[in-house]
Order: sequence, then structure tokens, then C-alpha cells
Amino acid sequence: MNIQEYIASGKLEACVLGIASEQELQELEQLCQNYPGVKAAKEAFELQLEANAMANAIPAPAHLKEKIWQQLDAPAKQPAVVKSFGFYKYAAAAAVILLISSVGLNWYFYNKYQKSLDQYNSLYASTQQLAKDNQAKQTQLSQYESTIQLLSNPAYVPVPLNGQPVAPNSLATVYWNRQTAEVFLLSNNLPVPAADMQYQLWAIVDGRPVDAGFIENTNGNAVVKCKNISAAQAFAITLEKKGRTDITTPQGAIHVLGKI
Amino acid sequence: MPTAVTYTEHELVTLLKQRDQQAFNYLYDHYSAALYTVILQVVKLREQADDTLQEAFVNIWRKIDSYDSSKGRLFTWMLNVCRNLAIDAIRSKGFQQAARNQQMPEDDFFDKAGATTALNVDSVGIKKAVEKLKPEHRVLIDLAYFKGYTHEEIAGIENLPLGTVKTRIRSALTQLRTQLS
Repeated sequence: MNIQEYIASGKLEACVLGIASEQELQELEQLCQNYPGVKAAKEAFELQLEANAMANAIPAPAHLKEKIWQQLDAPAKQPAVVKSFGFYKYAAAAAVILLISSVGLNWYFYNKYQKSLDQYNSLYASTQQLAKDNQAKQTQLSQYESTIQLLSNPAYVPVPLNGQPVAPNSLATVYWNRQTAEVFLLSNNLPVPAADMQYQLWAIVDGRPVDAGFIENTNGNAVVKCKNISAAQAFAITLEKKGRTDITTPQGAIHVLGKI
Repeated sequence: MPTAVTYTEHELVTLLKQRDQQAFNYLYDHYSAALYTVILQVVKLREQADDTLQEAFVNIWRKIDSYDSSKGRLFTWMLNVCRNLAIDAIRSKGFQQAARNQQMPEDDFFDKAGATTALNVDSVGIKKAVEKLKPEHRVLIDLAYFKGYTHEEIAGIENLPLGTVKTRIRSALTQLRTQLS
């Protein structure tokens, strides 16, 4: 190949200017490797081109350089991979925080629930107790009411029963309604008997004792209803053994006695 | 502002491949005007030329590894990057619309674009040498280099046989070399 002919052909310039075919480019590359003269001619043209391009060149607007750096920096600061990784990282962190908060809240609310349950139970118990107490008070109150009614009723004749030699300090009062035959007893002072003993009220009718019932409640200011007695000259209370067979005949000592 | 440091082309390429920012600043300061001029000579619209230069330097930074110094000078490589992007730009739909709206200013580009300097974009750089060619040569270089047409397309535009186009372009290029020196 005639190197000078090639150099003068214009193919070299076409290659440098980027308007040559792929075939022409390969040809030049090969020639440059084999012929230093071709390579030198190519480099000389490149330098000429560069020198001409630089001469009196028009400067680009000053802000462009900054814009280029902004464009180059932007993806480096926040690459897509990091972004998506960041999303999952934050999502995972958020999930963990939510889980921990949830467990914490569960524990907190469970404790609150337990405390409330305890409070509820104790409140329920005290309410029950109050209801029971209230009922007892109601009963007591109605007893007092009936006692007062009885005491203030002129139909009832009070019969004081005074202590006898075996129990000189004992005292009781019978309230007797002659018309209705109703008998009530008020234990003013009857000592609590032994567990196997009980007081028994008697009406003395024509010199003979008639059973008027056992007295269960010996203390308190309430009257207790006894058996009806239509006629009597006196009332007495004896202390008897519990569970005896014949309750129509007194066997124990007379503790209190009162004549009408 | 040109940086105080100067590099040999070999140093510059080595540093650029290591993504040295100072070297890239030097590259921009040193070559942006020459490349901008070529882009302007192809694109002619200032706003689009700005965008093309920006895209070109972003490409140069990102694709510096594909530059092979054994195949030519760094400037030659950058010049081709810029020219290819500029030709892509003038062929885009958006550019052709913008060009129609501005009625495609030619020689008095800078006067119409409102530039502070009334410098004629055709009287500098490579175009200055091209302008000195004979008219039948000049038109072919203009079509091939500044408009990016293939030899076949030029044969169609100029209504010339393909062989004649090839011969004239080569002749024009040897003339151009003389004008550049």
C-alpha cells in the first residue's frame, strides 16, 4: 500500500471527524499499528483540529458547570438501591417499634385489667356485705318498730318479772293483750344461759304453770313473740335443760316471776 | 475559572478514570468552550446547546472508562461525544418544534438569541476552516459533519451519484486539513 496516497486520500480525516464507515475505521487502526507515518499524520490532524476548536472558542454559560456537578452528584447521593434498602430498613424498624409498643401496651393493659378486676371483686364483696348488713339493720329496725308499737299500745299490759333467789338481778317484762291473748317478752336482763340450757316462759293459770314458749333471744332490746295465753294470774321464767321430753311441766328453778 | 494546575493528557486521563473531581473541573475549564462552540455550530439554538453540553460532560464523566487513548486523543473522543449528542438533539422532535418556533436563525444566531457578544458562531473553530472551502465542498462537509447525514442521504439531498459524493467529501477533507493548519 502506498502510505502517502492513503494519507492524502481524506480517509484519515473522515475517521478522526467521526464521519467514516466502520470499515474505514478498522483500516486506519491497522495502518496506525503498522505504519508510524500514518499514525503521525493522524495525530497531527487531531492536534490541528483541537487547536482550531480551541481558538476563539465561545465560552459556555457560567452556571452550566454547577448544573453538571449537580446532575453528577444527585444520583450518587441517593442511589436507587440504597433508597429501596432504606425503605425496607425503615419499614422493619417501624415494625419492630410497633411490635415492642404493642407488647408493652399489652402488658400495661393486662396489669390494669388485673388491678380493675381485683378492685371490682373487693367492691362486689363489700357491696354484698353492705346489702347483708342493710338487711340485718332492716330486720332489727322492724323489730324495734314493732317493739315501740307494742310498748306504746295501751292494749298490752306490761307485767314486770323480777329476779328470784337463784337470779336476783335478772329482769324481764311480759306484754300481754287480754283481748287477743298475744304475749310478748322483753328481756331486760337475762344472763345468757349455758349451751345446753334454755329459758322457758310460763303462764300461771289457776295456780298451774302453762307453757308459753322457749325464749331464744335473751339479749337486745327487742320483744319476742310467745305463745298465746288467754287467761293468767302470773308469768314466770324457768331455766330448763334443752331437749327434755315433757315440756309442759317445769323442772328447773324459777329465775323471774311477776304477778298481774 | 481555569484551575492553576495543568496536566499532561496522560495524567489527566489517569485521574479522570480514578474519578478525580479536580481533574474533571480542569477538563471542563479547559475544553468546555471548544466543545460548546462545536455543539452551537450543530445545534444553533442556545438553550438546546446548553442542555447538550451538560449531557456531554455528564457522559464524559460516566463513560471515561470507555475512552481508549491508543485510538486517539482525549479531545477527539470528547469532540465525537459532543457532535453525536448534538446531532441526536437536532433530530429530536422537541428540537424541531423549538426550531420552527424560532424560525431557525442561521448566521446571526447570537443577535437573535440576545447574546451580549455579536460573535458569529460560523467564524470560529472548525467551522471557520470549513467556511474557507469551495462552496461545493463546504455544503457536503456541512451536511456530513454538522448535520450528520450519511453519504447516501447526501446523494439524495444534493441529487448527486453516491460515488461523486464520496469523492468530493474526501477531497473536501484534504482541503479542510490544509485550512486547519
